[in-house]
Amino acid sequence: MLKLYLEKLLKNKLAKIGILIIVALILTAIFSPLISTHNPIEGNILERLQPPSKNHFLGTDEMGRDVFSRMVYGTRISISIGIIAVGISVIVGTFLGLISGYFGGKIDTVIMRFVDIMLCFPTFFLILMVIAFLEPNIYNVMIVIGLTSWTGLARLVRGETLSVKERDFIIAAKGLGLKKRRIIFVHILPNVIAPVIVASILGVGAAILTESGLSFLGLGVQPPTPSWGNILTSGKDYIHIAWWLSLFPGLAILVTVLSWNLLGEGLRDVFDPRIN
Amino acid sequence: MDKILSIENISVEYTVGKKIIPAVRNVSLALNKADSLAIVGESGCGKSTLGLSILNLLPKESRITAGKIIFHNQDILRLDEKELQKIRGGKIGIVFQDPLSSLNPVIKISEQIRETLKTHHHDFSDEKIEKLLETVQLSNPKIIKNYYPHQLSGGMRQRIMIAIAIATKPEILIADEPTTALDVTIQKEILELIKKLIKELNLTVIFITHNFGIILDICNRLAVMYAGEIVEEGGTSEIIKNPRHPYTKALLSAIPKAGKYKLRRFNTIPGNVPDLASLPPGCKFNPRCPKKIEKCAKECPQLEQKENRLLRCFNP
Repeated sequence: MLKLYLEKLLKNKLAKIGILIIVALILTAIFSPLISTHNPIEGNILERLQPPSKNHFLGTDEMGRDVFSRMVYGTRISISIGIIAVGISVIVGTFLGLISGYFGGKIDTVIMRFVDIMLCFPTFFLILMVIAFLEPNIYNVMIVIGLTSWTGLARLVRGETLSVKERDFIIAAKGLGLKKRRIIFVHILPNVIAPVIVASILGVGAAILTESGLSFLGLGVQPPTPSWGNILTSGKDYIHIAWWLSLFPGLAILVTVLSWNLLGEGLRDVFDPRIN
Repeated sequence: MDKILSIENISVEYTVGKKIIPAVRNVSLALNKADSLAIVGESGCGKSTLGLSILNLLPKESRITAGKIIFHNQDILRLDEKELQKIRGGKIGIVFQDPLSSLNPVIKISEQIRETLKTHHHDFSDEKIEKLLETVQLSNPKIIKNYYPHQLSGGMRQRIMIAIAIATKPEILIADEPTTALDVTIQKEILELIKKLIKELNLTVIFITHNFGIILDICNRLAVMYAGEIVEEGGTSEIIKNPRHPYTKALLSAIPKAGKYKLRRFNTIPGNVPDLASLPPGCKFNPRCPKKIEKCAKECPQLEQKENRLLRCFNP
């Protein structure tokens, strides 16, 4: 089954490109200390604002720090925030969606009205507000992004659950005396997981973008810890004299989000029985 | 005789929009140990609804409005969820109509059998599972148990459903049209299997079907349902040899007979299955009945003991 899906996925050229870039990014994140050429936090002030050269592949910033090394370490931040934030939202969204769809009635009404209320707030504004009250560090950013982005998933899972729970094998499972917990998590969950996988892969791109946005506004990961967003922020003040400071982190964000989206759309085609 | 299940005056209603549809009306049946009872009727006569209500498995659009289902001196309809789960699949097994959709497509066969065994605290080892697959006459159980449902044919899947239903050695097996979704040759094999299991495991069976042809050598008792009511009930061979209710007669004459090569039209029952939401007054079968008398359209006949059977008819 898995093998079949993988083969189908690899036939899609765009998805393949997406996978290659994502694998490269994850490797970069894991092996940042080996790949980076300089210390990302401490720079040589005498070498400030140098254009890309042999010694500094992507130039240096206003403090003389190596932009390439900072971006390599920034990959860690972006990828881990993306994955963990989405992990949180998948767990919360799937759980609440399953409960809501399976039990229906009052439980469903309460959860879905809460989702409606959450969706009324512009997500980014909500995140900004929460971060303003909390200390803006990497963990808070992950948790806040995760806890504000589960609503769509909850709706998706609820809808799927509503249709799966009426299928014969669920009635059969009830007829065999299985416990509710088992029916929900063993019988229904695997049957609704495909769209969840697609939505969560697409969600990783969105979470990375949100984190960059937050860091750009100074509410995300705080300097001197490097993240693509805050490299971009410090770069914008020097955009007339040091184009490399804002171009490369911008490109990195673009390419990363794009490749998660390519993978997500590839997976959607794989899981969709109508496209074959 | 040991009475193990008695259905007492059960009525079930479905709510569709604002309409209330009485699907089963005032049905009583008793089942003794080692009985095998067939419930026969046209589509929509309430036979499956009756079968599902025994395990309180009805969909939420329906409601059991009256009656009791007594199993070992307790009313199944009054049990809480936990006690109900013990009976479902443990004491009473059920095989559904469509094996293609009754197995979870994403779980391996072995796990689907195992979870029933585990839930009801039986031995759930691989050997036990392989033995069960052998019991339902699947060859190569070692290989088949690792398959997913889509890798098996309809007949094989129905065998697995049967294996799951009998895994916990239930006292009663409810078979809800177990062969309807299968083609004829496979039907015969599955029926032979069920027959064999009834004998070997000393099962008490409720066999729900619309096919008279298959019950004669499986079931010793027969209840014919029409429009949510039982119209004739008694020993299978007596009823088939000598049907008394006009509806039973009509059903039996509608079975095409093998061996008569002369080309002829099949016998059919004139008219349609009545709309349950607006039943005719009097006997529910009177608009289609060839032996109708004046009384039939006015009064509702009761189910009464007549000689060797129960019958609901003024003019048998």
